Amino acid sequence: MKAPICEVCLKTDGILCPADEKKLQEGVISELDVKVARLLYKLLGDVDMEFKRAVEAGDLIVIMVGEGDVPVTIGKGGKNIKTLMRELGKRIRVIEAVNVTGTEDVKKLATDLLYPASVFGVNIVYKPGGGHYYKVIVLNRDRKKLPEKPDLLEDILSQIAGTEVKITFI
Amino acid sequence: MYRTHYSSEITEELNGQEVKVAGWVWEIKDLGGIKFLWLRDREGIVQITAPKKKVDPEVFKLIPRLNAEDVVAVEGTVNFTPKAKLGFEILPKKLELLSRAKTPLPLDPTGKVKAELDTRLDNRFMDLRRPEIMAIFKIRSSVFKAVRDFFHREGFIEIHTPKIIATATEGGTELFPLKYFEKDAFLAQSPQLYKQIMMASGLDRVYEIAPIFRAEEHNTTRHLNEAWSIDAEMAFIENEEDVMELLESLVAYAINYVREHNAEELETLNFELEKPKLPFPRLSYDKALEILADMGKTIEWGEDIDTEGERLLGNYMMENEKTPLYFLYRYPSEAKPFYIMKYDDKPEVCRAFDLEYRGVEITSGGQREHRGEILVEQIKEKGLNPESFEFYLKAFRYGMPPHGGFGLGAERLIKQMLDLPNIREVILFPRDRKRLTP
Repeated sequence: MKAPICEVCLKTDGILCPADEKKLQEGVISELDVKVARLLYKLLGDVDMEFKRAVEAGDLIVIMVGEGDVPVTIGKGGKNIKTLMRELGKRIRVIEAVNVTGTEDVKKLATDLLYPASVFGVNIVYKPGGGHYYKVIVLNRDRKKLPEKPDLLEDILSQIAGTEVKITFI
Repeated sequence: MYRTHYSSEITEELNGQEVKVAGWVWEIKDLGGIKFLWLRDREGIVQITAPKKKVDPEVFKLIPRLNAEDVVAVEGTVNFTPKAKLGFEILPKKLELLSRAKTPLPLDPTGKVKAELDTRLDNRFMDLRRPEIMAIFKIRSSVFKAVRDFFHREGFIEIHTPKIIATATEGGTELFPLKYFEKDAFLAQSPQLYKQIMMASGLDRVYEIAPIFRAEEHNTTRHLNEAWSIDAEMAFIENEEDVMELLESLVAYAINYVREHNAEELETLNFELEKPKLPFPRLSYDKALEILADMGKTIEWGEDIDTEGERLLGNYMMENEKTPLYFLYRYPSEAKPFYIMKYDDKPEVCRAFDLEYRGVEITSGGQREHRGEILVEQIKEKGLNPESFEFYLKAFRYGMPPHGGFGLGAERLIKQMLDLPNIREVILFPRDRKRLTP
């Protein structure tokens, strides 16, 4: 299993090695990343998968894994998810990690996270004072299909994208 | 010139006279001793009849060698006869092949073989050879003429504002970024702030017809990334009603102009364009929500009326008011941009309106907030920084009259006027999410 912390830190429960501790201090990884990485290792062992990072908002944690690694992370009948939910005390979503560089990436991310609501489109909105944010457009008729409250999803999407993301209904 | 008359200009008075016509080969019929050529020009079809004994042998030999869509010029004598399908024919003296059309054709210009919209747009030059497609663009031309005539008649002055802008206007919009030498710039999404600035200039009544650019990634049948906007702004209004009256007169004028000047095109399209009834009904936002609730559609107060809601309201107004055109007004302030004036006694409601045509919004407008200090507050309320609007706010500090205006989407107007299914039908070379050429 590949993770943002080293193999030794992954296998232990105590303090982090100096290199990983530095990453934590510098904000490259978060406490949540460490916690989720260690839990996943306990659950999955040395399987061929990659845990990239985790973000949380409200009572939801989104776990981002490598391409094609979602099924193994979820486990048969969702048994791994159930364990993670119990351990972390929050609801869990597992998605493939996306390196956000443009609207297509945000669209892929939002399509995963907003399912079963469908994403109509993603636009970049430029602010008058400079800067921009992503606008995820969802048809009004899909509003009730959203898996979480819109503000919570916006929070998660913004954390993953590394820039502000808003959801708009048309 | 190769042409003295268009097909539609050949009238009975020309019987026996010589004319020159030119255009594309529509159809050829060879009956042995007599050959027919139907020639299509911008205005219609003309029949060329070539009996072996009456025409030059070279002309007689050339006709069967022609292919569909070859470009030809014919010089001949007009002959009005009931035997001809169109009531007249031309007996050719001279037939000149000006340009050959390659085969197979990318599209069937007769329309007998249906083509996908994408194929048609890829071959727009040939798509327009179909009379019903050309009819749309003749009507479009009439709409723009009518709009200009109307504005000049009403004392409006045409202005031209920049299409390359430095910052996002209207408080955050989907813009196309571009490099302007060493600076970042955008293509303009609306002339809104500039036309308002002109209200401080003394021009009083201005209009602009120009393209607007919106970087909306979603593909729909009602959106274009490059569209033409008919914008107007006028000073010294008392309230938004003054603007609504201007707008309904403009739209009615354009529709009546098309009814009067494009009867033939409307017939080609087999479309009966309703005469607009003035004034257009005014439906308040609150009332619209009530109607929608009765129809089983709930919209929270403060939210914009979505596409489905608009469609339902369009059906309701058609059934109950017998009109495809109506205003929605008195919107919640939170649903509209910062520059719209709020009601002083009810600030949660503002003086904005939309004009709807067959259940689709074709115009947004309203009375603007002309009091500088209140405007600054409204900018802040929307979470925006007034400093970003300094070039605009400056115009409000040295005498700004009460004013209002609207932006009318030309393509939306024409699409809805002709009740066409896709906005791409009314613009020659649409720019959408996928289409950048031709």
